[in-house]
Amino acid sequence: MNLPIYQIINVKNADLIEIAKLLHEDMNLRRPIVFVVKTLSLDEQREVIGVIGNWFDTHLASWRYPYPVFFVSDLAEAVGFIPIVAEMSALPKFYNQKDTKVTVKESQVLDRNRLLQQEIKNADPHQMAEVVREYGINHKKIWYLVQEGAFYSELLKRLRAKEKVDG
Amino acid sequence: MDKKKILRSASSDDLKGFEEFLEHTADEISQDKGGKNIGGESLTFLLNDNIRLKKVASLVADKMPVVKSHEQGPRIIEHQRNLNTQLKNELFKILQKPDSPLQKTLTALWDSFFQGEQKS
Repeated sequence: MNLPIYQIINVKNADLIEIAKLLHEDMNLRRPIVFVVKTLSLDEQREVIGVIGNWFDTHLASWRYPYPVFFVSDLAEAVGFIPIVAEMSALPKFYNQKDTKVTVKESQVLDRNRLLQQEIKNADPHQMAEVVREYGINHKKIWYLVQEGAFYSELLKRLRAKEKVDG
Repeated sequence: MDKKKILRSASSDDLKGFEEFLEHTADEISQDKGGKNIGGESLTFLLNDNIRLKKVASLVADKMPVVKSHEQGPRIIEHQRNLNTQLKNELFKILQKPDSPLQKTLTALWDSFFQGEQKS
């Protein structure tokens, strides 16, 4: 049993068949995935990022849960929706652990984690991520409307106070 | 196995020739303890990951299905929009009065423009 540390996949060419071989639905079930596309040209990097992003969309697989997927690429601008970093050192440090031999106690925790990973996978995380996104958009709208309402209330309070003083 | 315990419980004759072996075993035990500390780091990481996974599982398996079937967002948005409209109406009622601060400021601005023309 392995620790859930980064699995680094070096993408060496932008060939669709080669990329398809790298992808499967349980790829981020047990550990986070990092696609390193730096050896490719900028156009190929953009293409590979697009293809992998589309693959997650069409297969209704989540790139967020149970473990996230990242790209290490030279592309500074946002391409697609999967996070891109310039260097390996910019990846979240949480999963930067030494790959040590697992002790008995650790393997017990790993067993428990495997159940949780499967539970997350079974809950259709791709669809749930959409629900979270919509929930977030709605609550952002609510926040702006509440801010607007608070501004009107403050204005009314001041005007009424002034009316009392004048009246 | 603790070396001191063995030494205490056994007579010195029984242990003759085994001193070196016991010393070696005691060293190995202390080295193992050092190794376990490294394992401890992974254990902490795994326990933190366990907490993270529990939270994600609770989010996607328990909370989000409820949110999906009983989404309150659109209703709250509608309610807040109505409240804002009411507040705006009240504001306009006050501001359209001839002696309201807005009307006074606009009048002062208007008058200041014509005062300049009258002087010239």
